[in-house]
Amino acid sequence: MTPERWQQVQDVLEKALELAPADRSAYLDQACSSDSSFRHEVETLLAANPGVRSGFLQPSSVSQVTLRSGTKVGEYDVKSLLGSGGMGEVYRARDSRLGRDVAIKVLPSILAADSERLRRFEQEARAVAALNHPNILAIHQMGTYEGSPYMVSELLEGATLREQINRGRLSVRKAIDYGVQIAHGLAAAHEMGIIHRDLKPENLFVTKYGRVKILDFGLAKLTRRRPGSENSSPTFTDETEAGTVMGTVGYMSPEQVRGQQADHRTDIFSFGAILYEMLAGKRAFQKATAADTQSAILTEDPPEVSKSVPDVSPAMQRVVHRCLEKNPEQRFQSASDLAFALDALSETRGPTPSAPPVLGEADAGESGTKRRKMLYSVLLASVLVALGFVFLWLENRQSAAPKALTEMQLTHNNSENRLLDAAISPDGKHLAYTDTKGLHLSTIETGEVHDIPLPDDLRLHLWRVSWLSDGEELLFTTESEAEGYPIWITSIFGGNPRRLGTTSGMQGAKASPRDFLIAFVGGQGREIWVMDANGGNRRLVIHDEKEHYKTLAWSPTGNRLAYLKVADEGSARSLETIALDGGRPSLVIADKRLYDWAPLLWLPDGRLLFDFTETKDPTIFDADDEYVLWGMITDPRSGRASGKPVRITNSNQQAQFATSVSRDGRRLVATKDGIRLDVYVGELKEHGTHLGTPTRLTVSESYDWPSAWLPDGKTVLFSSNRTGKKQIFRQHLGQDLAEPLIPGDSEGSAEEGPDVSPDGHWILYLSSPRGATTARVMRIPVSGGPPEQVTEFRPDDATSFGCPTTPTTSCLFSRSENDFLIFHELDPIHGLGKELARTKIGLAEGVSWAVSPEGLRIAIMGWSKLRGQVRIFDLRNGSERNLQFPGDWKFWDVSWAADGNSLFAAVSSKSTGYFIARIEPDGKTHMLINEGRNHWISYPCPSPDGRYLGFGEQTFEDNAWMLENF
Amino acid sequence: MSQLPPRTVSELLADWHAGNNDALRAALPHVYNELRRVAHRYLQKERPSHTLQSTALVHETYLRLEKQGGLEIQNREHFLAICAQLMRQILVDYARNRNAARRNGGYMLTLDDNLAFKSRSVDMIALDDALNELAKLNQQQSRIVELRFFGGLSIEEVAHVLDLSPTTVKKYWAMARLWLHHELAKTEHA
Repeated sequence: MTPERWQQVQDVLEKALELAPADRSAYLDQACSSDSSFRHEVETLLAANPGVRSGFLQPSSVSQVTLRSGTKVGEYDVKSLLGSGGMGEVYRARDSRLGRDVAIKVLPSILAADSERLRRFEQEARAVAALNHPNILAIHQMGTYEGSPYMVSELLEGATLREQINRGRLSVRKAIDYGVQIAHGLAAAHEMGIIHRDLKPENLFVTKYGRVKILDFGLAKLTRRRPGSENSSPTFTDETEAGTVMGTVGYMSPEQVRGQQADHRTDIFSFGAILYEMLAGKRAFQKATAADTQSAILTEDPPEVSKSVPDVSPAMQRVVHRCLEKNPEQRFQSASDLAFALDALSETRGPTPSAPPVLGEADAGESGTKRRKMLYSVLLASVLVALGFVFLWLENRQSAAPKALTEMQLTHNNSENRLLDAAISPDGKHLAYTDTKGLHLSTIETGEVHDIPLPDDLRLHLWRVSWLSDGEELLFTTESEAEGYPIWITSIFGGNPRRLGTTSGMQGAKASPRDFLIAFVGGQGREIWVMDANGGNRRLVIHDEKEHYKTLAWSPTGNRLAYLKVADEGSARSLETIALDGGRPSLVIADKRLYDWAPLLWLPDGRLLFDFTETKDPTIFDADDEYVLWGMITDPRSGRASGKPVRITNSNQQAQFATSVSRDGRRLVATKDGIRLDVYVGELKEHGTHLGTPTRLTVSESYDWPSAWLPDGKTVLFSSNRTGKKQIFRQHLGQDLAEPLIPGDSEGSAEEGPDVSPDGHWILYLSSPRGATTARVMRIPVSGGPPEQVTEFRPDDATSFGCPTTPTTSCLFSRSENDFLIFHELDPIHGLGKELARTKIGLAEGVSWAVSPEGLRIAIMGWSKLRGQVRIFDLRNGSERNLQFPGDWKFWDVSWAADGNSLFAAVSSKSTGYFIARIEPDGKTHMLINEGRNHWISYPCPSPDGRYLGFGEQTFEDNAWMLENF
Repeated sequence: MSQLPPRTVSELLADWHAGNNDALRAALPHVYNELRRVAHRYLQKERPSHTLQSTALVHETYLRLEKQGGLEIQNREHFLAICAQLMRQILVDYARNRNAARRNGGYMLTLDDNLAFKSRSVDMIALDDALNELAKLNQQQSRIVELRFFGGLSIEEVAHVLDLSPTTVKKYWAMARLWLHHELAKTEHA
């Protein structure tokens, strides 16, 4: 190929790529008409397009690992990357001997080059570790792996002080608590003659119990540049470890900046800079460049903390500044003096509303201070519950108020690849989502998407996804025919997913935002459990015999769970919270409008989000529902709610379901659904055991669902909300347009569910007048005429009617009473007749039935007691027979075939998705149409001559959106 | 001996150009994180047996920069662009050495979990050859791939380095990938 030729090829290629794949051939016909080899070149490159689009040569933005999951380091099995920094990567690993998880820090191999220095580092690290001090990270082992030194330490659950400070300044109380702990740790090390030299918030870890641990003792010395400059700054001058330069420079002591001899008081200076930052929420020394920062360390005093934070006392201010003296002689001379001074401050402090502790944080400290603090915290808690929490919330809200809500679409899934769930990472930078093709990870800023490889049997049956608190692992559930919803964990970097157990709730497995814990619904919806993220240590949190749990959320503090429960009897729904360690549940809200299929989400600012099912007119029988996102302030510590529910967004257009929030509470991900239901018709073949390719009959963005055919066998009757209320339409197979069955406005009534009387003269339908508590069955002549009332009734969950097609028979009307489904005669002229039969079905919710063409048998299906079954009830003798199908087959609707022997059933199963099957009298099934998980199909509706099958097909066009300033 | 470090990356790079190798040493830390991120990408899903660690890759890049002496570098993007070129050389050299050592197959880097190669890896040497071929057809397209793929530069950064519009870069990038994909698929079947 020549450059000129390549240019020509590109011109054509570029245009072809802009066209839909189907249109490309025609374009190439025209563009390359004269030159078949030219066309071939273009075509081969076009064929590469799908491969290229899947990420070929695309820069990846997921952070990196050097050790893969499953690698063996010493006797430890590497599981996942926990974090990385300039000084190396930290992995979670399994010590199978002792059955515990540990952390492995792998240092750059370059550090091993100087064996003498490495030896001294090991010696020092071991000496500090030997102290076995509660505020110093415990080191289990050290070694070298493929040339890289590593150390194995206890695995801590929590976050670095850096992460905490990034969320905002700490309360004075907490800063003192942490400060005392750090000082104790330093004092112990200094007594051994060991100096840290690189103390910074990144090197301080706060466990979930509030214990501070100092990390990386001795490491600074190891990374010094050369023995000749023994006391110069630890991480600054080493070109191999530049990543630490920026992070460290603000915490260096003046003597380190000057490259002078540094002793233990250099750590006290760094400590002062950290204490300052905890209190002020900003660095003591921070300038535009490292050089300017260093210059400030040498010459400037940072602004007084008390200037920006009023509740920092003058005594506190003095402690901070005494640590930050330029001259080491003027600082605290020992870390234990410092600890003592700080501890003294903690005794004199009283609660103030402007400095509430971070929500739900446990108090911890050395035993001497602990008792005082607990007492203090009890006093404080009572004040805060009444005042502080609300204050904090208002403060947060006010500061966010001027910004307008922004929304950004994150996924672009269409109806052929239905979005199932989406979750934002703790750092707010990535989105993990599941769809019918797999599990994906996208980078929000660039939109780049990576697939997380999974075996097909998991990949194609995914359900929910959420992040573990480390931001490195994902929790996902799959749908399984036999087992409900298995729970899995996988690293975002790949590797084999680990199976942890099973939840029996569709929504019910969520990872804690703070700890390596997972909560799930078990016991067929009657129990809530918590387990460790490795699947062990399961404990029951709450169980109930009369209610079932639907969906769960963790409190932002990780110490409570919120759950939505539904009463077995009636439709009462309530949202409650409970502490992980038990105790009494606390009610947030009880409201029938709570939508039990929507996720719950508890935001860091205390708002607990849920969806209400909003009915346009609650008095109208089965009016159109809308799902709207609401929130209610709920204290994560006490679990108590305050105030009234507040709407989160004003959009009425699409249902929104809040799935996840970033750790800082700024970015919320919600899925919005765009769904419509269309009527399709297909030709039945081979005696009804096969269905030809269906064609879409209705053309509207609305909900259209068929229920009957006119006797001509060519016209479908369907209900639709296309005019803003439910209304009945008729449409001939040969026509593009539907016409309303009843012309004009029928007093605003909602009309639906038409069927044709056995003699073929009448169309019967349900009508629910606006504002009335009763509904009616109406009739209208097939040949046209005014509608008239057949009967009036008070609707319940089982209200329905249906008609056979044999002329001498009668339509049936159903209602429920206790556990029974009761059938009455229904005559188009004479109205409701005598009770014909009753059958015990348990809950009426989700019950559907159809009467056979000759009017003698009824097929019944339901969601509760009739799970996985179809009941054939014989009206002649009251006998009933249950056809048994797999327990996970969920039946949505049923109708009789024209021959009066077989049934058409709309079913969903976890492994197959949504389908319509023909069921023979002996229970044998033929799959007629299977739409997988992308389309819900139901309302099977055969034409009276058995030639066609009409049905409704729902298209999901859900996508994930990111909301900010919500 | 103490010495306050010089001011900015640009100044350091200018110093290096003036013949001061210590300036490069001082400048490298500032772009080190980016280099490291780039380096890691190649080695991210490497086979466990592969020993060219990303730190080592960065280090090797540094050594070669030092060997080349004071290049004239205008800015951060330009510096990264040079590093991208070096990394390409290092990785390809490495692959060739491996190939020489083991006739069988060669060292393959997995660049992405791309479906294009059915989860298999891209052959570094084949990619290098293909890039050379592409350079004959369109020098800029080859360079864009080098910068994007080996340098980890964004579309905007590449546009800045090559003085092209981002739209052109995006278009060229798409075309180049098509061509390379086809080219590599050919060698794979061969």
